[in-house]
Amino acid sequence: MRTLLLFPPQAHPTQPYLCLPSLVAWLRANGFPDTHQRDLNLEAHEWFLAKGRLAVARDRVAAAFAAHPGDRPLPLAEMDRFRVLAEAHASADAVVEGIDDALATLRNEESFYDYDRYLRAVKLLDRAFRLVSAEHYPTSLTPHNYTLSWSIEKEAEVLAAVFDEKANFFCEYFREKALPEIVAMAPDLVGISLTYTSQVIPGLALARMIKQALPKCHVTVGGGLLAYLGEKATRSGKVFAAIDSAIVLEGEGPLLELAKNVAAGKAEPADGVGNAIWKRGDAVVVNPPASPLSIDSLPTPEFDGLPMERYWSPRLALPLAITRGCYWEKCAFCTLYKVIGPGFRQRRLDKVMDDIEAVTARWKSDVIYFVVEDMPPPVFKALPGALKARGLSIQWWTDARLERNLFTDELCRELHESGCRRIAFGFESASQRLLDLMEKGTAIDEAEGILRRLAKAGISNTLYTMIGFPTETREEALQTLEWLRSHRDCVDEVSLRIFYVDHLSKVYEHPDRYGVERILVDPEKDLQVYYDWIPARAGTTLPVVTYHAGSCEPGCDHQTKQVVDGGMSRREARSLFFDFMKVLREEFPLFRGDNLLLFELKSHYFLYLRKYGDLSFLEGKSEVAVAEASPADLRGARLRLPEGNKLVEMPYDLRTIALKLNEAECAVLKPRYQSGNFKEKLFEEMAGQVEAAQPQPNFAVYRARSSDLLHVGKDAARLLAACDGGRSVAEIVAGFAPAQQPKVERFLGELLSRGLLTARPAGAAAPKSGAAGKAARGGGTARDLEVAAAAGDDVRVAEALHLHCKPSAI
Amino acid sequence: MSETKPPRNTPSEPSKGGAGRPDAGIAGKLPPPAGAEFDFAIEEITPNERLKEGFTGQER
Repeated sequence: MRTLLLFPPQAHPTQPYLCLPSLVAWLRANGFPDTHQRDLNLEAHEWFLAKGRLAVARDRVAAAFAAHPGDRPLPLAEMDRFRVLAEAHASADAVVEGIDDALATLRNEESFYDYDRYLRAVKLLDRAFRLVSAEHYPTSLTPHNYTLSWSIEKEAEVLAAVFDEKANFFCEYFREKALPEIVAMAPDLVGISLTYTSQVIPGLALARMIKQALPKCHVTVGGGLLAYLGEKATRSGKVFAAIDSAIVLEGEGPLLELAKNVAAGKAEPADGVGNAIWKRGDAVVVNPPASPLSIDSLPTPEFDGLPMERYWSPRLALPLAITRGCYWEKCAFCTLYKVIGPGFRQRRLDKVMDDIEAVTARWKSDVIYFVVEDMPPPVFKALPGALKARGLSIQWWTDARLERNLFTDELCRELHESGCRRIAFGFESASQRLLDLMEKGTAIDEAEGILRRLAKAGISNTLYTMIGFPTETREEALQTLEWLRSHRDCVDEVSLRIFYVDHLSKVYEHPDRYGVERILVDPEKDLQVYYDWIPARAGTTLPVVTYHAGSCEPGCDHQTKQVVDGGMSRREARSLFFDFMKVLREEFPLFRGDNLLLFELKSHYFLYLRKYGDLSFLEGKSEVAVAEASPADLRGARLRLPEGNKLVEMPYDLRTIALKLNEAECAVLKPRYQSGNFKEKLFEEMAGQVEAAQPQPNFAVYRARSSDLLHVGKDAARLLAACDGGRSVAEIVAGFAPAQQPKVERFLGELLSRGLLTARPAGAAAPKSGAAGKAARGGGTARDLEVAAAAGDDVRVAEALHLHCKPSAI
Repeated sequence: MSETKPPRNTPSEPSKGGAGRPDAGIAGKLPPPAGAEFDFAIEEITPNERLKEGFTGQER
């Protein structure tokens, strides 16, 4: 009996996830030693980001860019494709040449903590994702998401996507690499974990392929996402074309029962397995819930079998769960405690110490992420002593509530001594009225003291904050912003989101209690899990439960009332989000420029905190360095473009197109991760509102050192083309009228300071072939006026990471 | 999906201009004569899309 558990793309491949190691350890400990696991997410990234595969993408994108029409007005619906192709084409050479170095930088302790090198590596990776996406447009892969033109909110489209191997490009990797290896393993049972929405289509496609290749193998799917989607996705029974069964909620017990049934050769292995949904004939069978396990009965997670040395970090942040579920379980907006449950359970601390001891010794890392919804106060109090008693030296972070009477100076000191370096808090709002309405159970007047005591002890904080909870007024939102601004000396990080009604949340189930007149359920979206809503009218009275921050005695009457006084619409909240971000960029170094890239990768962010103790390494830093000092003898210098820089003639002005697309996207309420086919809907909604872009030949330069794209004027482009490394500045300048020469010379110096030229000698002579040389001599295409560089160093670029809130990894 | 149409501009096609003439040397790329303004503009193209999604990053 052989079992294979798979973690499909797409998720960020910086660290291993906890889901499979927990299940693998459980099965191995319970009579199924022949259980294996593979992180196909990391492997798929390695497949598409391999230098050779990126070169294929580069050539295909170059052909598509050259074939793109450039002599007619470009309507909104075509702007995005043009922009994606143009930018990917401009960056492609640098990406192909720099990818290996970028990945090595992230995996190496020394280069990782060189912040400039780190940012360049992450920016190059972002460009690599864009190159892969451009090849497969409109499918889009970012470090944080994977979207196709198919909607993830409609069953019919998800199932179509599962069979669309062209749009769902991960199928190339499945077909050519993963599937043959899986078939060779000949598993009897395959389990595919779906934690994120971005895994649904690739995961189900993989399941379908395995079922097809191994008809006797039972293929099941599970994972946190199915707690939201399981019932909806299986209702019609159509999904069973791709899978044999689905397991919702906690997986250990059901998976073990399933394995036993498969091993016993039962014709219907899912029959009788708790939490399982499967199909008998034409009927969908929903089995009764499984009994929750005592999490003390679970073995230490086993990471063996995962490519631990290949994750994109110099040191592994090992995930361990101390609890399952949430001890508070009341927040009106939240669903995590429902999908990870059932019920709150806490692991004995001696078992947790065993876990820490085992995984840190096995994987030679002292970095632990305690995966909890909120660490309970008793654990905070006991953890430092338990670690000390066992002689365990780790550095860790976790999530928590802003609990009153918990974070004393003494406890903060002890937590720091135990290795705690960061705690992420559900802050939500600075309005006590809203905190009460949300049933958050925290007090805003306690927050400052908690954060200051933690800061004094050397523990960094993150505040999860939301805009647009039902009934929130603009003034209340601004009050939250002002609170953050005025506490910037003790707030390190803010993680901001716009509120939406989440399937299974209390707001969804009892909208009338929270100032929601009606939730907008789209009947066509049978897999919808995020909803818009219509606010209750001003004057509506809401019952409110006030928990007095947990200080109440039993029997205390918590009931109060609130009268709704307006409240923002979703659109107003979204608009305010941008005002928030502007202020956050001004006040918090972590939000400035390229620093946001570090902010977006939490395990990397933690490693930096651990290394430097605080955020002082960000002082005065917001962009990668691009400048090159002018040489002492500028006139004698032979300038050329740095390696990877590329000058491209564009048929449309990318500045105009970027602004038009920005305008359109800002007007759309729903983030991409919530719908999948974001772009198509966007174009539909904005059709007729955005004018077409007129043909306008112009020049753009891809700057490899910062991985960004700059518009350059036609004379700047000509000068860049002239700087082929063969002529000195004096020779170039001599070609101009005497009155113009000083200006031209100054401008060449500026091009050095902007990272668009280099004076460093090339390893070889000035390029004599290639598009640049040809273009400079008039033999190349105008469209492809590439100025190939000779030597140099450095790397790359970016912008857009399309982010989404993901449920926890277990 | 990858592009399947053949390139419109193949490498053998002549330049549409903007990059100079064959063997014209630097003169072929000279900016306008004295008196005219150089177009030495350098401008960032891409606005920061990270700020649009409604989240600034909750990778938990």
